[in-house]
Amino acid sequence: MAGSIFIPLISVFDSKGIAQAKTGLASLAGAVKGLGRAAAAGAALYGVQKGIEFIKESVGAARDLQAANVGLSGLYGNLAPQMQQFTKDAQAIGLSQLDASRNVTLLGSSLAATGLPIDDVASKTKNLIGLSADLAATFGLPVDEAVRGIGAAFRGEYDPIERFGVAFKQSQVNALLAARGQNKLKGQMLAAAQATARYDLILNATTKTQGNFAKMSDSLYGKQATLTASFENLKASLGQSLLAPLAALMGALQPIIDLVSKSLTPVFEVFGKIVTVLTPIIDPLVQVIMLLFDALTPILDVLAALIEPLMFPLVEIFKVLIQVLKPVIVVITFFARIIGAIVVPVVTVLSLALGIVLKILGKIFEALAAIPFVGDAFKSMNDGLKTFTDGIGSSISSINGVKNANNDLVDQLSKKLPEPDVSGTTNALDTVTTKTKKTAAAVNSLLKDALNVQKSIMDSANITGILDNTSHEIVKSVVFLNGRFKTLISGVNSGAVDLKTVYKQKFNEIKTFLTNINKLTAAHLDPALIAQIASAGPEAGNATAEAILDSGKEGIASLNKTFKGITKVSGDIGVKVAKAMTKTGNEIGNGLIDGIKAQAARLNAVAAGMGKDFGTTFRDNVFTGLTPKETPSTVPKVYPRGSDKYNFGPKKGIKTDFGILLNPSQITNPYNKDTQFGAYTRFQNAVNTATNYNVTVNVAPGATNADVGKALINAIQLYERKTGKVFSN
Amino acid sequence: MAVMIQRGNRAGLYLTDYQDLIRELNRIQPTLVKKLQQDYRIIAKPVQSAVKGAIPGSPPTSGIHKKRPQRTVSGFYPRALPGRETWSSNAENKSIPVKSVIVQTPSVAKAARTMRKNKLNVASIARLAVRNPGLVIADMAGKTNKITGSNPMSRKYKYTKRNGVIYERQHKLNGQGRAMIRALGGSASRYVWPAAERAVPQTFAKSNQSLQRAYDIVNRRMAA
Repeated sequence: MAGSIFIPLISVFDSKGIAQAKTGLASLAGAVKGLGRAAAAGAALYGVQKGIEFIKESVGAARDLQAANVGLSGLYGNLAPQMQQFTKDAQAIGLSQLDASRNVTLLGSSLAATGLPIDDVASKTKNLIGLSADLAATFGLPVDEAVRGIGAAFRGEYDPIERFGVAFKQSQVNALLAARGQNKLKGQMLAAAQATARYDLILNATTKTQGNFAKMSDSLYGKQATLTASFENLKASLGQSLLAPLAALMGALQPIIDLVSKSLTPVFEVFGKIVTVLTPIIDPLVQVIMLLFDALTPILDVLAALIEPLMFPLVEIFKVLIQVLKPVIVVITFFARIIGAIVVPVVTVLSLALGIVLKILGKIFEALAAIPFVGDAFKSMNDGLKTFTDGIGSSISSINGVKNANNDLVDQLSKKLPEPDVSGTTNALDTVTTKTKKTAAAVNSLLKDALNVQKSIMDSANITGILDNTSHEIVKSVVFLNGRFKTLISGVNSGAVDLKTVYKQKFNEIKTFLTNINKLTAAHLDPALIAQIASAGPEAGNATAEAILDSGKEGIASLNKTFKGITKVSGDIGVKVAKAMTKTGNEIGNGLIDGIKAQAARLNAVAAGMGKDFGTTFRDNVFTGLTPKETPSTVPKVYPRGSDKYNFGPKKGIKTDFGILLNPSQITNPYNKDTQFGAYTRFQNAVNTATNYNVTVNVAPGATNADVGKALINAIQLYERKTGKVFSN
Repeated sequence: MAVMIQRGNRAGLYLTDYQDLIRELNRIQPTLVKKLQQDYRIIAKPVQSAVKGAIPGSPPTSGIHKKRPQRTVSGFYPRALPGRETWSSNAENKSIPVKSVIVQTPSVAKAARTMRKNKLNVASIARLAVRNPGLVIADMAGKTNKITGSNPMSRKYKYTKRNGVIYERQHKLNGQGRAMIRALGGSASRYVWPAAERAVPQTFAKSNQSLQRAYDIVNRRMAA
């Protein structure tokens, strides 16, 4: 029987499953965010962020070094200890142990591939690494690049090494082979002979540059390279002591991962149902997957902020995973449409992806339990609750006390009531009179007691009144709060209206900023400095950009020169924050912190040595040309970017303020001295160092090396503007 | 938030989104829902015209508009006896003209009911309906191809014997249906769906626009 034909134009789809999944995820995200807020308060107290970065770098360096050493051992076999010692000593030529290990392995591989004996390879590698350092020092290029250039030459590619002034061709190699009577060799023998010929040609071509690094060891370049390498080694050394506790931690987490997985599984089960239900319409399915990832990302952000020092590799993996999965799913969807087999690939990929995500989340959730300040947050919450319940309990007992007191009073009163006397009615009037008097006295007594009761009741009423008043006050408070909320909401609304104007202003600011940046680029300002100005943002960076542009070509040239030196400075602040990290550990974290503590003495010694060396070298090489200290009128006072946050000076103090010198002794806020560990020391150190350079730098807590660098540049710029002289060393 | 979906010849959104939208529009002003439904009719217009244009005005086969042989019956004039499948409107086919293509806008409740009933998880909130039985047969005949194979049999049906026993039976088909499909030519759908599929994509933008307008009204009201 024929029915009707319906042509759907707009349809609705079942969204039950999606709603369930969204609810599940929302509750999960809400719970985690709540925990995040509690923990963030704790984290703020500990101020661990800088420490996190240092630990991260340390562990990363140690891990990489471990891997590099494995490669080195595999290549050099019995000679591995000798080569490892060489990589340690490479600090003297400005190479960290990690970089040296990598380069030794890289060069050694190139040489070993030619068939040279391994002891020959080892000796040649050592010489070539030294040569790389010399070439890098001569041409101002990274050592890595020199190593790669030399390695390429052994593979027959001579272009890369030309950058280091070494130019030769295969014909020269062939000629040398012929001269040595090795041109008839074949196979491995020929390759080994060619390698030796290339080695000799490289050494011949670099006779003038050999030993240049040693000659420059007392220069700023040499000192900086050596110091940087020693600091890198220090980081890796610290990280090595952390690798074992980290591995132990990972192992300890495993049993609880399953538990956490169980709690998350229902969410993903619901998601699985959605996949089945929505299979016919693939587009919304993909949208849901994306929604899921979008929902998981903020959760991970919160978790990452909490536990990054412990679990950063996992969080990084997760982030990468999400980035990889999104396009993969889109691509699979595309092909699924074409071939019509939608369900299998999507479900497979989805289950694989979610399985990995689940495992990572499991590890991360577990790590939360190990964080001291999260536990503290819960503890303080419990304490607050206990105080509240205790208060309620005491109020109840006082009310009960009043009630009991009233009861006692009524009992006493009832005892005082006279017994009824019926026999007296037959006696004489005087007896009646007497009795009447007695009764009257009793009634009087009764009235008196009744008054007491009334008073007592009145007292109770007063308490009730107080309670009523309290309730009233609470209601008033709620009404007041409501009012405030309304004001807040209306404020937000009006704010939203103003947003457009603000955006417009911001847009114009950014436009100007970009124009200035372009001008700076055209004026050949150092790209790193431009990047720093750009990273400061339009508000702060624009002033700097304009100031630099005002200083003209010569000012920019001198800035470039100085900045090259300054940007290579690193480590001092890192060392200080590493010390700060020692304060944060307990329980599981103790394993990590103990590792740092074990190295603390060495850390301090090396840091002090590095700071001293650097200070001397820097002063000798860079600031020798500055105006003498005794002319304070020309000494600018510089406030780094961001100092306004701490109210240590006006935002653009560089332009307006030359009168106030902020000394460490002026810091009276106990927060800075006591809890913000390292800030005071960093401040003091920066001021002392800058004083040595005849400039005054006020470094607020939170300032970084970049801030100090920028401040010094501004100082030089101002010096030039004030004195009319071009700064030179 | 509504997620507009476009795939093939379907445009749509999630049921809960639509339920929320209609509820909020009704709260703001019930006429807004009517306006939305009027929009659907405007959106459907091009598809409606295209389908109407594709339906042939005259019957595709001679049999489909059969008349009794012209003969005198009890002194009456010879007359045609139109049936349900006649290519014109009459009482048997509820006076539905062959070119009748109407726009239907089922309510949210009806859409939800449909979804529960047919378990397809999809229901229309704006659709075209082609209802003339003759046209539907001529358009869709041979679509399933279930009973037109080498040994064509009818579907099973219940049959009551003279002694009152009821049982299921089938019978051989005499080939009339197959002959009709052959005479109609081509394959299903012959008129309606090809025209609709060509025209439906034109409606996507307008559907989006109309729904987005409605969502904007709701969002503005909520923000106020």
